[in-house]
Amino acid sequence: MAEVQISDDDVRGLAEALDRLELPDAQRALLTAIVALGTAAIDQANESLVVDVDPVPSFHAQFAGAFTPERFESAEAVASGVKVDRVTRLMRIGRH
Amino acid sequence: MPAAAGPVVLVSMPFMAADRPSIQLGLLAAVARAHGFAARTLHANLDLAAQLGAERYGLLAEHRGPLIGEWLFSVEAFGAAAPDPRGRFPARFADDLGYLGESGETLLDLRRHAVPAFLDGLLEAVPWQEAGVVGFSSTFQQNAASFALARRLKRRFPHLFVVVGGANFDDEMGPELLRGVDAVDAAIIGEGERALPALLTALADGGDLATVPGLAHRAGERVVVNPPAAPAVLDELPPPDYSEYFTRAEQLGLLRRAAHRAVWIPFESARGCWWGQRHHCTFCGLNGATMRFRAKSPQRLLDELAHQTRQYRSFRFEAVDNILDMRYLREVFPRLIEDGAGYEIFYESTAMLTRAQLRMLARAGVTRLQPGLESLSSHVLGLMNKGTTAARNINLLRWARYYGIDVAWNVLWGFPGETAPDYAGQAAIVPHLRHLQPPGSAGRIWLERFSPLYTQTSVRHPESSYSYVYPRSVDLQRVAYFFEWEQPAPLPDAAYDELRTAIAGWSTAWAAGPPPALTYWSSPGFLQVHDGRRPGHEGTYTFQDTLAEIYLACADRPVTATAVREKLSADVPAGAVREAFEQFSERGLMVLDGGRALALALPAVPGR
Repeated sequence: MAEVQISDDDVRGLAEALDRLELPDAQRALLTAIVALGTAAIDQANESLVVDVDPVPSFHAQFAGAFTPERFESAEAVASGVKVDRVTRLMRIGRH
Repeated sequence: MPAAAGPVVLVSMPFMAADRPSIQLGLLAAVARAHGFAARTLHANLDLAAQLGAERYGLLAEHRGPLIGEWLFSVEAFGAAAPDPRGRFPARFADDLGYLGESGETLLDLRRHAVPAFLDGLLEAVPWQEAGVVGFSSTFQQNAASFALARRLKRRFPHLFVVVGGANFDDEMGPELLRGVDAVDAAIIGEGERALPALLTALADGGDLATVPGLAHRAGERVVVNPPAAPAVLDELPPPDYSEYFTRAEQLGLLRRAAHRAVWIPFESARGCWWGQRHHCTFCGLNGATMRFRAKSPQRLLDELAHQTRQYRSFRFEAVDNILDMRYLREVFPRLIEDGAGYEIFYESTAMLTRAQLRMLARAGVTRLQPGLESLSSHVLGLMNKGTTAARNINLLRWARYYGIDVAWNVLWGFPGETAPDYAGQAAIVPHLRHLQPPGSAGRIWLERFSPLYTQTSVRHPESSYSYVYPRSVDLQRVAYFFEWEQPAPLPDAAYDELRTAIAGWSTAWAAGPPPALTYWSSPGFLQVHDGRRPGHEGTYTFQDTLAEIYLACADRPVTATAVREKLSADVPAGAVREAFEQFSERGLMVLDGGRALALALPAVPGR
């Protein structure tokens, strides 16, 4: 969780952005009501409000370092999972 | 009509495949015997396979466009009326016949010498003078050879009553061929299981042919078609009798005499198509008269497989059904697994099979599947009315590979409404699918009689090689099954080049050695994907926590970002999941299709 401070200016800016959007009546009414709730919450909190939000994760860093070039010893073993002789041996170990 | 009261000989002529018996002959002979008639079968295709060599015959029996098999027998079928006596056919269709590896001279030699010798030999193969009725079963390229033998038989044994049947005589094709071929006395239109015994009864009793259901016959100058019979009840049919196929194949040296055989035994568990009843695939011309789906009861099917195995000592079975009955997933395959049956089975099926269903099929012995995939574009699949998507098709290829099921499939193009991006998109996906089984071929659809496209197309012509087979007196519009057509606003052929090249590379990668691999190992919150799809560019991807969870959430089947989000341990917005989809996709580790994502890698650990 991360803390984000929301001010009266943020709510006013959101209301102005809402005015510029072309929306069906029902969606406009819904968003207006949500913004009104935000305005009321900030009024109650004396001009600013601190809320907890989940951070939006960015996967770029992990993707960027995800790949390691390498060759496998046996492509065939990878293609079918495990070589048959190894499967047989493992099963025997597991059962006895 | 006492002359026709003798035994019936059922014949399968070239170019039916010679490596397995004819289910048509096996079934109809058993039906005739069940009605008290003496019946024998002659797999005459075996004789030509023995004469030419199995490999050469096998190539000729492949149907890849021009009617080479029909042309080879045309002169013997129609005599002076045959349209190409000087043999222009090989030169005219040289580009399409390259797969044969034959010169025009060898094909002409085959037509002028080998074919007449083969037909002459057949006159001695059976005591025809003792027979009363000869029945030819004909599908695809068996017409001209059947008419050629009928012509010789009628000359030598004029007492014989010659009847033809099979898919080549459905609808208006049968009456027109009967009108145009003197050597044929009647044609069964549609199913033969009720019509053949009724015909034999009528002939034996000297009765009226007008009483035989579904029979086309001559009445003076006219050809008359009787009302069809009620569809056969599959559970009431006897198991096909293939004894004479094995005897003859062994006599001719095409099969080794052995205690155990590895021949694929044809069996029929269903007729018609349950998908086509509701959503007829636009290109499909199968089931002209019999779309209504019927299947054998599970116990009847299980009994038949067990019976045929004992009878012919082979555990390999090839379903001739157009589509797998989904009820068998509940009532047949679990029984085969429980029974420990050791069959190898081929089926045609819907593409909409889940991982669990494929696993069950594999465990039950379905080692070969033809699922009708047809395309890797959801838009094109929609145009075909296939009811599946590109991601589902790819998922079937994934789990079939994982469970060791060999998949026969093709990529088709040439559909009204398709666009160039449909094919550019497929060409872009193909390099990421190299660890999956490639299509057997890729090419333009053929316009087939009975298909919705055929019905909707006003300007169409019989495929051009028909005019090299049939006399001018035969109306090709009425006898052809394949047509050429004028498609409104077709894509230029170059639109498919990129995809064609990509598929060729895919096939080459599989033919070169062990198939390429893309596999994953996973533990909670940790994932490694080994990418061995491109030689020289192999490597391992490592992902942790949320990314590992996102990838694994898409491993079973195609899913939406919203569905993935619900499976994650952290509260991640759907937008972030979609961003991860894009990143996986850019690396060729996922395919995205209509808002759904599918992981491409397969588990490294087998058999789960």
